[in-house]
Amino acid sequence: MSASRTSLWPGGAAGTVLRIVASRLVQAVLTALVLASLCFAFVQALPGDAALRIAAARSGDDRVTAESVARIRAQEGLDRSVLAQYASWIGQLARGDLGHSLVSRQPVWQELADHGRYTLGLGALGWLLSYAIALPLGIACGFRPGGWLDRGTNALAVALASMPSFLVGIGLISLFALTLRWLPPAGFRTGAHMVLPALTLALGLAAFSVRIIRNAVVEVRGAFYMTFARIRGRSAGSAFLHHGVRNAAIPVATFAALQFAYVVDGFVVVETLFNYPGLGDLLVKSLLARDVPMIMGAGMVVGLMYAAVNLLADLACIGLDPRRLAGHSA
Amino acid sequence: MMSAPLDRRALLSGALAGAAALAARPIAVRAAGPAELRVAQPWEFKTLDLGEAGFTYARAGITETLVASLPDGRIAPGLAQSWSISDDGLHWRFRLRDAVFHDGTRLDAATAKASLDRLLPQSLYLKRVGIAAVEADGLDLVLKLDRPFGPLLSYLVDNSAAVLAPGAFDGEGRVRALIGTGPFKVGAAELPRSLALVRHEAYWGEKARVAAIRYDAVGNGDTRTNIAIAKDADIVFNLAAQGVGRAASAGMTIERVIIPRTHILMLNCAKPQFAEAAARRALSMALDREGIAAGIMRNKALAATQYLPPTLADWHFADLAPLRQDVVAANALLDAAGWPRGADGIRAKGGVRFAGTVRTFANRPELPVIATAMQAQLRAIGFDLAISVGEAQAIYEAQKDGSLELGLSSRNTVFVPDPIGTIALDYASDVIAPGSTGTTNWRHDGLRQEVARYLAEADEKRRATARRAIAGIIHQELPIIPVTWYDQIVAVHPRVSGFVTDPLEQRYFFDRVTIAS
Repeated sequence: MSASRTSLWPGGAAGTVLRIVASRLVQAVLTALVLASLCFAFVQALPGDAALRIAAARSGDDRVTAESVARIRAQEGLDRSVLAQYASWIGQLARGDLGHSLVSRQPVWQELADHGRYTLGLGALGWLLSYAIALPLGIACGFRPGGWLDRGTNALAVALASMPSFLVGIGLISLFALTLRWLPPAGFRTGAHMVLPALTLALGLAAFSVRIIRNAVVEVRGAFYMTFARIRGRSAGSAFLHHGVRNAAIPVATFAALQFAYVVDGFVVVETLFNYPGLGDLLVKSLLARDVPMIMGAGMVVGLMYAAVNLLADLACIGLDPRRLAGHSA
Repeated sequence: MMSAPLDRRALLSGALAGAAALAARPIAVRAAGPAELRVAQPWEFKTLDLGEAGFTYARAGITETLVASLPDGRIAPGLAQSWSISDDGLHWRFRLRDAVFHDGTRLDAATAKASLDRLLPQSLYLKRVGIAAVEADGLDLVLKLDRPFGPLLSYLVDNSAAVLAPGAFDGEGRVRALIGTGPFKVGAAELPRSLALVRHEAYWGEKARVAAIRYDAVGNGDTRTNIAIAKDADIVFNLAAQGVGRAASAGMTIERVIIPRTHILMLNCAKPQFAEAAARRALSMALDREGIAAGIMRNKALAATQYLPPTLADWHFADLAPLRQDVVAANALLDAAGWPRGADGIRAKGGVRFAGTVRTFANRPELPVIATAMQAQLRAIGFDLAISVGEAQAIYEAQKDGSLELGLSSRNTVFVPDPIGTIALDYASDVIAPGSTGTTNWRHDGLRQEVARYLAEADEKRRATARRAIAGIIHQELPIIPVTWYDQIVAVHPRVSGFVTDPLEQRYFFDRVTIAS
């Protein structure tokens, strides 16, 4: 096997790739900062006393006292002006410190890491599961467009895509946890507890990607280079394997990155529904408690993750089709 | 310079392996042992600060106080095996028992004093007692008060002032680890969601029968109900009433016990429509409590005939005329008080409409539904009720800025196992309780005198007289209107035996529980 066939991009293009990575990183950091600042502004615009909500989040509504609210207001600097609070956060950030949660008092980075590993685990499982469903189905439908499998899959995908993820989750809980009793309905105690939330995510993702894969396969199979391969005597399957997969993978990889936005949205619902302690759950609780440092930290992380996923998708596309580097280096 | 080119297959295998490792992590570390009691309950373990989350650790049997409460409300020895009180009521002497902290440190009067010195200033209730000094005197711990305080033993159950080992505190006196003396010690914690406890083998009392407990905090009531139906926990607390039938059908045993919590309609007594006791009584008489209890709470016995439920035997008085629906009498009372009906059927007096907006919240899903039921019932006596559903804290904010008209909330009345703790805060203080559940702009000097008398009194007979007087004034004046009591619904897996529900919600008593193999 030659070196050029095993590398993601041909030698000499490394500098261009590094330039892409560097410029994307700068963009990502700026976007994350803007996102965090917007989070700060939105939370400040919410009605109500932040110190009171923090006190209620720490001890429960019943146990809040006037003293505890006053103590939190003074200790956490919530009695300062909004600008002073924002300036303080920017100053902390410049020192590489995201601050601490106003509810748990733990460092924000630690809370994000603790919850993030759950989200990453569930997200990776859901995403892989979605492609385990969508790839074979999409390819099979692309090979026989208009066939009974294609029509059936299309109908199912439309139904799933039009359903909010909480409805899909409730359906799965009702069927597999409460009726068949095969799987636990919520929590994170064992591996079995991950199946239903991962499946909820996977079905939502697969509903979209199965059509993208199917269309990419149909398009590739109709391309001239496939006809040419057939003329040279290759079978349909062999031609697709050798010439089609790589080309069909490009739109699929681009779409996989776009799906990240759906995943972030999905996590908020899925983690709340399944009582799963990930970033989505943390974000909802932080918003209810007006835990500003946590909300800003989560906003930054989501922004950075979104940028990272898109960068990875771009690099994958360049790897699949190195001619794309020409556009970047021009 | 770039290193060796990346191999696509290696990249893919690495990604798959990484994802699998992340996904599989919980499987490896969380496999439940056969002797582990699995508990689902709504309260998160938010912080290690006992003043904020101490009740969760005390209930779980990690921390202990000098004395403890029993499910029937009596006070029993805890870390103090006996006690005595000086004639002037100012010196309380506690003989400590021979106990060992979870880290092996031995309990003595000096360690108990050090712990209380650190925790008392943050204790919600004990700091109001007037403890002037805590002294270690040989084997005894002596609390010196600056005034006699009759219900001190009940206040000492305040779990925000538990006795912790010296190693539990950091250099600044904050709790950095939960090292108590209880029958269970912390094995692993993933705050705020889960807590794994193991049996404290050197416990001073009877050792727990279960070797380990895992607590999961599940905030959503429907999710807890699903867990009960799927039998994925041994004990599920605070089940939604609507899920009881399905959980029972699934084979879970259902325990229901009325706890000291009351759903209350709060009235801003500074508003002209609620200033007179006659108008408040008429509003109370308009309510169909039995209908609300049966239809919404799914338990007719929860209709609140007075402020405190029968569970609090000392504070529930059979001779108080039960609060009941009587629309005819309510209308007569309002006619006599000079509130004539207008053309739209709504009463008015001196240009003030007999109307108001009730603020409530959906954290307790039954409250907005109860508000809707009240809307129709109050209209029958000519009161126009509007409903605003928001956050629980909005009631307190409206109390503070004077805009509150009515509030529908829920009050836990025994943070210490004597309701006087809550009553003193809610009915006899000028500070509004931010728990959104105190009275609003209501002051009764007679009640304040009775509360002060009760707090200073050590003699049980005279305390009983004060109790009856306090309950009578609240019942007559109705600065808040009791609507329903509340029952704790617990689903218990058939493999569990020995489970006891504590109506006072102070302890879970899991040290008495056994699990069938």
